[in-house]
Amino acid sequence: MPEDHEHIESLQRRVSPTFGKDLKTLYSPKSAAPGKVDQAIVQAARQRLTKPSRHRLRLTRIGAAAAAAAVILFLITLNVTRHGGISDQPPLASIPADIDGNGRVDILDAFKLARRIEVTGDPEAAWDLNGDGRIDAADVDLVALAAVRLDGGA
Amino acid sequence: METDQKLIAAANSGDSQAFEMLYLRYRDWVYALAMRFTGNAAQTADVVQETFLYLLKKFPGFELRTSMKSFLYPAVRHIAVTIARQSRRTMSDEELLRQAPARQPDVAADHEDLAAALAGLPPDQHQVVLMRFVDDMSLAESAAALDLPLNTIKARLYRALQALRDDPRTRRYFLA
Repeated sequence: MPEDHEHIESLQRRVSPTFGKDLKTLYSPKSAAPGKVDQAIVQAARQRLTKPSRHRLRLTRIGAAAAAAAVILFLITLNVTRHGGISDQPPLASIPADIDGNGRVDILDAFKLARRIEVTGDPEAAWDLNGDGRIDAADVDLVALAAVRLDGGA
Repeated sequence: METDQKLIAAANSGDSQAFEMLYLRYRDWVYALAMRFTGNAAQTADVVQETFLYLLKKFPGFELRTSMKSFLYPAVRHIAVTIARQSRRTMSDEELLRQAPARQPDVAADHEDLAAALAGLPPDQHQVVLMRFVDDMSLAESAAALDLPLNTIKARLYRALQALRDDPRTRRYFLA
């Protein structure tokens, strides 16, 4: 029907604006979506779209473990310092704990090492900080320990 | 105002507020459309909820290849038929879809003429008139929503408008 296609635009232009207005009056609902629907959708969206993925959850757990380790090691360090004890750990000054290479050793380095262990599964050999042949949570703990030293692990 | 595509990208990244904005943007449009298909408020509320839950399940990873209205229209239609079928089990899907769209029962007399003229149109022509003038969908959006060639939509609308122009009850809506 080529004629239809040629004339549809001109026919539409001849339709008065009141046609659409009256049609909308005829078909517009007098009620609106109830608030309980809004709540259900918003709640479902927040659950679905902000739910941490399994991967993110694992990283969060490692980060939390690193933070907990940092706090525990900080307390141990304070205790050792106060009592003049000698630590079994390698001297902190010799630990290359500046994982992100920004010139400072802080708790973010511990998080970063934990993340790299988790993500790559094959981190750099240089991060075997305790020299036990494995790069694992014990090395993360050492970085955390360096981070909480008052001298910044330098 | 953020485009639908930007909101979809944000929602795909886990931004629930972006999805909420999409919901608020299309909620009333979906509600009005669902009301036309179901004719009652309780079922309409269910259709709105199910439609957006269906959309939500597409995230993350949702890709909108057409307009949002073209995507939502068939979903609303299908969900409305499913919900209506549960309450009217004796009717076939085809019968449900071909029912006259529900409209406001108490309208002015001149609107009654319009309603009567529209009711005289074949259902497929009636449908494209409503999509164009009530749902504010372009012809291309209607074609995508109904999965029909654009020329089919043009032909249906052309015949519908011709019939309404020739109908004494609706002639006043057409400029000479």
